[in-house]
Amino acid sequence: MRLGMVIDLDRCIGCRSCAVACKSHNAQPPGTWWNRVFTPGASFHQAAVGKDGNLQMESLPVSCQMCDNPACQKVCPSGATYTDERGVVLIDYERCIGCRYCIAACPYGVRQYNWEDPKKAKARVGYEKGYDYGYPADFRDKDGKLVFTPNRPVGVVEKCTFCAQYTSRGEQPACVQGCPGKVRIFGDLDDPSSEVSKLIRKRPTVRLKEELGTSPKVFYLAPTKPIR
Amino acid sequence: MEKKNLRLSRRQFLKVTAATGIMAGTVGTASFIRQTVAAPKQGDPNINYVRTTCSPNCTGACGMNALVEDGQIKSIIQAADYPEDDYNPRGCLKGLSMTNLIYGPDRLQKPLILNGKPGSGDFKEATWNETLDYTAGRLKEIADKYGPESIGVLFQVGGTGYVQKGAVSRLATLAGWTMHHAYDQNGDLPMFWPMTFGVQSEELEPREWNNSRYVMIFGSNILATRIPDAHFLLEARNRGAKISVFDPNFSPTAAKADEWIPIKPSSDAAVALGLARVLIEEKLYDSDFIKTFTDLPLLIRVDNGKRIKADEVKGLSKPSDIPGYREAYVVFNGQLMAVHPEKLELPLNVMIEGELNVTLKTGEIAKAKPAFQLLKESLAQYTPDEIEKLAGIPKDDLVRIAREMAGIKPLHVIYGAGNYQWYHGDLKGRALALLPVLTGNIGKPGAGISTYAGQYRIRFKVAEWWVPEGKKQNWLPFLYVLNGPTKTMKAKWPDHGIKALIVGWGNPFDQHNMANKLREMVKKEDLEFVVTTDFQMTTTCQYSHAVLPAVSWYEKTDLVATPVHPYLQLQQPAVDPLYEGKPEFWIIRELAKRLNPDFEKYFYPDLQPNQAAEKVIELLLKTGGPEVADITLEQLKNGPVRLKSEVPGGRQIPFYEQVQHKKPFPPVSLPAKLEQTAQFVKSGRIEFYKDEDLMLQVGEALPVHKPPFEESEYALNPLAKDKYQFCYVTRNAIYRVHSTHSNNVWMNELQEGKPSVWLSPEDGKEKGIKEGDEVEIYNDRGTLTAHAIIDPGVGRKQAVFEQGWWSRYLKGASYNSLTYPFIKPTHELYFVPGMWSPNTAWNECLCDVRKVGDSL
Amino acid sequence: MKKSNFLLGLAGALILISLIAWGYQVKNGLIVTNMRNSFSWGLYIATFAFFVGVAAGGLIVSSSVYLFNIEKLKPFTRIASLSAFASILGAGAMIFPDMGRVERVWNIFVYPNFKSPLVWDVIVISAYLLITFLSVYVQLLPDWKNEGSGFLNGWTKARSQAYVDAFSKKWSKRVALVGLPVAILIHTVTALIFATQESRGWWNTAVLPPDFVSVAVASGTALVLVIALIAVGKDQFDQYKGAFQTMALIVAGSLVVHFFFVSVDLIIHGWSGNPEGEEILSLIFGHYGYLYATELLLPAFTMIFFFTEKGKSSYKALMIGSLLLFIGVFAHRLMLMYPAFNAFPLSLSIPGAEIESWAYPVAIGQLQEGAPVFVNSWAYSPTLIEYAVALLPFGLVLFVVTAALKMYNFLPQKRGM
Repeated sequence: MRLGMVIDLDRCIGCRSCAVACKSHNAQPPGTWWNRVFTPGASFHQAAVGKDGNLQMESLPVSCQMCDNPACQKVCPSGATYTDERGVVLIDYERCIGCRYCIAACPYGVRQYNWEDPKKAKARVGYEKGYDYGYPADFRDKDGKLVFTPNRPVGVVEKCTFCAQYTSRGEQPACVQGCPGKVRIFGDLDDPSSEVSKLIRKRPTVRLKEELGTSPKVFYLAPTKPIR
Repeated sequence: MEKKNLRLSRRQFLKVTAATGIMAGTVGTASFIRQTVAAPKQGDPNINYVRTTCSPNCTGACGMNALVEDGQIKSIIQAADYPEDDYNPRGCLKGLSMTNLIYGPDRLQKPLILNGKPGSGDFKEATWNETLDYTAGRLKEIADKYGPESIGVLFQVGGTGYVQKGAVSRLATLAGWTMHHAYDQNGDLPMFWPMTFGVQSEELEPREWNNSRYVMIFGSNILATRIPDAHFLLEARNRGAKISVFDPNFSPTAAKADEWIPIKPSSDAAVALGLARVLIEEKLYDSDFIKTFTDLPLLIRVDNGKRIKADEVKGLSKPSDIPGYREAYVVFNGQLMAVHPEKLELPLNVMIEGELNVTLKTGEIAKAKPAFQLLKESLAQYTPDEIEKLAGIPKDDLVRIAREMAGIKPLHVIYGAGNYQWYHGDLKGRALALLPVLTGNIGKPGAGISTYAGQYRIRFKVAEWWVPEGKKQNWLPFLYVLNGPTKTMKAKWPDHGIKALIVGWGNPFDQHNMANKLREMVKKEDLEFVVTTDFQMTTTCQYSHAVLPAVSWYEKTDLVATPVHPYLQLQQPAVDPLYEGKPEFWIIRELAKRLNPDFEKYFYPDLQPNQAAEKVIELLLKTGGPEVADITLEQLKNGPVRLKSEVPGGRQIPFYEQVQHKKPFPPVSLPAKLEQTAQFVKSGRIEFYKDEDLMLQVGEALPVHKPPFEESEYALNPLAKDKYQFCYVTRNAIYRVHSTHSNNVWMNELQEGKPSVWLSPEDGKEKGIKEGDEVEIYNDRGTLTAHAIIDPGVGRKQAVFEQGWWSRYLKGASYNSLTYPFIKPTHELYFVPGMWSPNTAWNECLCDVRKVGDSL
Repeated sequence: MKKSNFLLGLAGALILISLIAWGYQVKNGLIVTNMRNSFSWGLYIATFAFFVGVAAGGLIVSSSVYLFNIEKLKPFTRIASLSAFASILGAGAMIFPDMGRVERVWNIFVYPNFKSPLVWDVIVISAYLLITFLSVYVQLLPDWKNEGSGFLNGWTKARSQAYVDAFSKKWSKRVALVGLPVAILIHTVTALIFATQESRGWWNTAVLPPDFVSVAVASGTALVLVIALIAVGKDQFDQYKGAFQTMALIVAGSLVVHFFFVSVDLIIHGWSGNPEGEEILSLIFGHYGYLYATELLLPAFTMIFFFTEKGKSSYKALMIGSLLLFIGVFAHRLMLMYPAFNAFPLSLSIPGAEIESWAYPVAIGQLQEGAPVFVNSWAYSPTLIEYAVALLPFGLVLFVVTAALKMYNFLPQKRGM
């Protein structure tokens, strides 16, 4: 099984709901975003790109590309970053030593570091005393590795896990559920009848930085309009 | 055709033109773990999912599941349980981050009483009893001194909470307070609707967008303001509909459209009239349709511009079975005929062009022309050359577009607030309405003209709850509170004006503080008492004398509907009220009994607020009429229920009954009675010709193009023409619903935490402003500081500011202090609250911009 | 005597300051530095690389004497080994404050990921630490035997002086045999940490490891030079002039090789005019021009200077040349970071808008009032805490070298060795 995602850039309107759903369900502290959406070429999100009436505005969501040949995994000295049996690249929060080699290695800028204790950062927002957000329980993989916890320890790295806490029980990742436009399709790339497999076969797709050989498992359907 | 996976070249973010281009359907078939479940699996026994409906005033009304654990809402995700999967999942980034408001630092915790000067925000905490006693006491004092109608109630749009807002209406009615209708207060009432169709407003449900083949969008940024519905537009486009966006600025919607037509600010009427002229000249109009359903065949007296009544004509008489609010007019099909206003039947050989003499009963012979003839003559000036001058559209494009839109059916015109929140917004709407009406694109699937703004619509009868015992209600358009009374107003101005405000669900001291009027009224004590109920400490709370902490829609029971989709939904409490917050229902009941012990019985005094709310819902369902026939509370507890309509399948297609079953215009606009709105179109038909005296006086009997600012800004101050050359456009941002979420930490992270003003590169260059510079936007009424975004998509001389920022992000300024509460006299011809009423024109505002630090 | 006490005190102070700063950092998290997600390695790693380079150079000098019989340098083999040992100790120490979870470092030893160049570096640096220690140890054994001092040398009590002398000579050569390749290896492997990363164009070049080695030889030899100058003192300079001049020539020669690699690298980056190359060139010559100028001009000056008679023939000239070289090499290490991190790996071209390179913003990992969360470049400038913590290796090197020189003989004064 190789879990992957297809993102339909034709349907993406750049609303950033996926980024916010991810942040909420995965309890990311202020300043940390596993999932980003931007308008390529623009100085500010949803500003036009181009000049003299020759304008465009597309949106590109980027989160962990779940590479089959992940640079982050290869460089991790303690093996904290690993790929599980479903093809998902995960981080064992109890084994990460915080060296940040993986951040230097990742070509996509998706890895986020806990520069301080996330509880401190969250406390500065001024929530009600005792309030914490995000999926409220730890999740360990079949080998007992801690791959989700609502407050990661200070000094470890974190990133998208395809919502391990949800996908392990048959639910979709938060970004897929949170997208109002059904832009994200999630499924098993090894299953030829899955929607992701079908889309990759039938539609032109793009992968980011493919020439680096990371073999990302996130495929983008190019933003096309029908020929008239 | 073989489709290969293209190996696209390096680092490229590429646009690839698809080989065949039609995208496969939107619905996922059996794929790995794709589910749209009503109640997600409970993997962890400690987590409870509670389904409720998110409802700030955005019209989304999206079903959301709150993930509740340990008595806290840990996270929120879309419920995605709409029976028509096309509507799933809805939701947006704001609804998903609501927890930041519910549990955030601005949450009101205790009732507050002013402890310093009015407007100072200096409060002392008090108990509920103290604050309620104080509030009721002050309200009684003011009612005694100035009359109860001097107390104004602002409770925003009804659709977001039929129970709680109904409770406010109930008390306001009992107490004799003045109610302000949020629809026109918010500037969302497109006045062309009552003028042309006799209704409050109408719109196709977004699912119908899939049935359109030609969509023209004027001044609406669907991809930013209708986030949950935007996918319907893209699906329509991918199924072959042509999407055209007419806008001075290249918006996200324009970016995804097939064609973006840049037009000069506020020139939409010119565009529409130019197109209409082509339609008529090239005979691209549906003659049968306009003869049957519009007032265009009706005869108009050339000398005085009045429609000829059947009663006036020799040999004709008014049919006897006509209600008092209608009138019988005259057409000619070889002979003069009286037109029955309730029968949409006219012989198809009726005359629409030319002129004739009509002998009146007085013996006078009046020269008359059908309205269509007058329209044709009026349109003659809007040649493609003229439109190119007025609107900036190349003339060949204009003609091409007219031919395209006439030849492709169904046509849907989307008419947005960015377009009609101007002084002459009504003219623009009337002109645009010509496009679907002349081509017969009304009352059919995928066809029509729609406005999507504001959760105003009352979808079923609410009088049993909202208007106790049918008592009279006092309504006053809020614009008068800011502008002062006019000589021509039809609404009743309270004898002493408005001396107190009761505010709920709104933030008028940021959002409606035009020309800084509201804040001054408080500081100068023209407004002697302001009490606000909210769940956050907004700027309005700061300007209040008493603050009553309410709860968010995750902490109470209510009933929600929206004009944008036809589902009725519940709000259910996911957690108990935080701190000392109470549902508004309870607050109203407590106030009621203090104002007058007899009032208490109207509010289910023996029940807890949530139980009482359920009783109210049952009452509303029982008495709501055909739209809610057979809908029960139990059904609603299981998920959204589609309201009933006369259209097969319960679809929301405006004027279906009129066009398919020839029922007269207008359909009823609840909660008004038919006679209240039918008087707007006495002919029983779609009316382009308005013959009220004032309309004739100002030359707006037919839709015409009038440039912006002439009758507003320049009239107020002729120097403005040279001094302030930028349009101050306050558009909606994806990060806020008006001022809700202004203080949401994640929304602010996504915007660099700073209010921004968007300028074109040429204007930036002229003014020496670069990206990221701090900029002042100012006019004689106010000043605002924001940081500049240079956007090549913004048109010349536009200062686009994303509205909704609380003052504390603007160095204490109110961004609305630059705006002015202009009142257009034609909006005062009638008064039906929220239906024919002076509409706020946010965009009718001029300003200038300068880099902070530059001298004047 | 007094001088060495002062230096020891200074070293102690530096170490103390850095430990206090490190403690503060541990308590508050690495957020007290100016590194963020978009610029995730900075002063600490640059300093680490600096000291690895200096460490490699020391043993290359020392081993070359034993393996290639470079007689002229014989007087300074002990100092060279000491320099290498102190530097690798400092380098190793510098790594720890950069780690987010220092207490978990044992994971590298229990669950090593052998694909990771960082694991290779841990192995070779640990090995080098041992080797340099042994190198100093075996070279000091004869003197210790003679003076009855030293540590871990109880076993020599039972042996004769001649035996110990022979033992020392034999094992010095054997250690050198192992030490030289390991010396080259530590800086090659350290370079491979960077050079293997395809996502960073500034690093991803085959010339990086050889270039690191050339800089290592230059800076390592320069440190040996400086320590030797201080140990010998101005008065006895002429006695060892030959050795000093040889070392100066080694420095100059290796800098020639370094600049050769630099030129080739710049040509490869810049010739094709592709956007990545353009971006890198604009960063190094434009945005960070001053730092890059420091990295180029100071070593260039030293290189030329040390080729001249004047440059390599006086105490003062050699000292100044070496110090300038250190500054230049330190700038060079910092310049490892800027063009790598501020040329964002995820950069896109937007054909319709004639944009060839647009950096996709990264979330920095901190929310600060008035500052953006998403950036497309990061003006990294170390905080005071970072400077304080980075004093650690300097303090350690100073301490070890001063203490060693004070306690034992590192110069062949009495015994011709």
